[in-house]
Amino acid sequence: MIRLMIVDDSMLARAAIKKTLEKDPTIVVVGEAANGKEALEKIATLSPSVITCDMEMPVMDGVQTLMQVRKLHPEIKIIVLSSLTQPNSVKEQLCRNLGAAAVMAKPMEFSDLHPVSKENDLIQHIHNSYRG
Amino acid sequence: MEFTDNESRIKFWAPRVKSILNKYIQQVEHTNRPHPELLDMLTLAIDRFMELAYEMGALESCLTVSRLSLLLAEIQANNRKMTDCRGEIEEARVSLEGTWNKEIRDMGVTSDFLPPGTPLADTITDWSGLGQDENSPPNSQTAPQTLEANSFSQPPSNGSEFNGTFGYLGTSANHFDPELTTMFLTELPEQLQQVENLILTLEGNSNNPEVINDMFRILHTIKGNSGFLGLMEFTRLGHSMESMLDAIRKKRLGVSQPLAQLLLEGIDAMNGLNANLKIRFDQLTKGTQTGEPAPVEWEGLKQTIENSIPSDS
Repeated sequence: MIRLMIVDDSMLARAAIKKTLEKDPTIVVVGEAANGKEALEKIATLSPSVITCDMEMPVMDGVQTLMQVRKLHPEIKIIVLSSLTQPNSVKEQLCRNLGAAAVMAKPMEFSDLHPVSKENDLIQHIHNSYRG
Repeated sequence: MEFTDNESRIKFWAPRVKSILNKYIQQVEHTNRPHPELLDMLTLAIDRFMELAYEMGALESCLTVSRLSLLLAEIQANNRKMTDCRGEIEEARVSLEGTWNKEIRDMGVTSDFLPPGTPLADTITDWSGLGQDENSPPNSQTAPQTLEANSFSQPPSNGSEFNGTFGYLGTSANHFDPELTTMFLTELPEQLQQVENLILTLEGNSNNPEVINDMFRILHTIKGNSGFLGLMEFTRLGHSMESMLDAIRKKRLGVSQPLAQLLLEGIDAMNGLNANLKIRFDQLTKGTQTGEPAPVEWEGLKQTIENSIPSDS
């Protein structure tokens, strides 16, 4: 079982990601947080092995979350879900250099990508990061 | 060191940490087998600097140092030899000097924030003040959100996805998700109201970056949420408004009355789209026709908004 935490300031986005992941019986969503600070507070009790993390959030954003998690819990893999507008932006490059297991566009952000393939991508990334 | 606010804390520490970082890099550069302790100190300085630089909005400096951090990890894991990396380390150090100076100059600061008579940065041994101040919450207001919205690849207006009516609701009801759409419909009116209130405060208050950041964030959420549901009208209109706010943030565009008017029209259009979405939603969930959708001229507005943004130079 892959213990996964969803970090996103949008309730809707969290629900949508959760729905996507429910399709995979090997992934269990152990908790949610609305920003990085909340996530850091919850990590100790939820002990996730993988986190999906939004880029833009109030209080503590995706990059800041990554900086803290890699320092405090280097064993946790982070997949950054970005709805940032420019592919490979400075923030995305930063996330990769900070050790994000993957940086991917939020589902449906670009309509040329079929939603189903994006869902599979996310699930695939979670499995890859867990193995790696 | 006590600080009354997060911004002065960052401005105090950032140049000092940068200076310490520079010193360590030079020491590492000049040693064939750096002492493990020196590498640890360098790692610490790198982490601190990245946090501070990011909070300041010095993203390029942060990125340069993150590359150095990757390199260092390779050396520490004995994947690469120090002697082979010297050129790259030197390159990163020089590059950091350039980007840092440029970024703080762009922020309107020339003196490295150091008032005359400030002790040399490398005499500082107490790192304790460097962490997040426990008493003041990590501050999102001072973390500038520098987004690169300009060369965004537009969601293509692909005929099959998008035909002027709601992408999902109108064309492919089998993907329609009542639960998530209900959440969208519940959150949206308040979000739109918030943005509208913020636009109205803009007029007397045109230089307030917090107002712009707040609007940006709410529109960004609407864009993201509608993207999840395939409601491309909201996504595309929201994107154009977000780009406009980004241009204001980057000072490529000044706040003006006509500009605030365009944003208000954007909110109006979203309110109209919201009303139509509700009608479609009721049709699909209850099978009842609760009203006549009124056409919303959002596409022309989106174009007007986009045309008002100067291209990045």
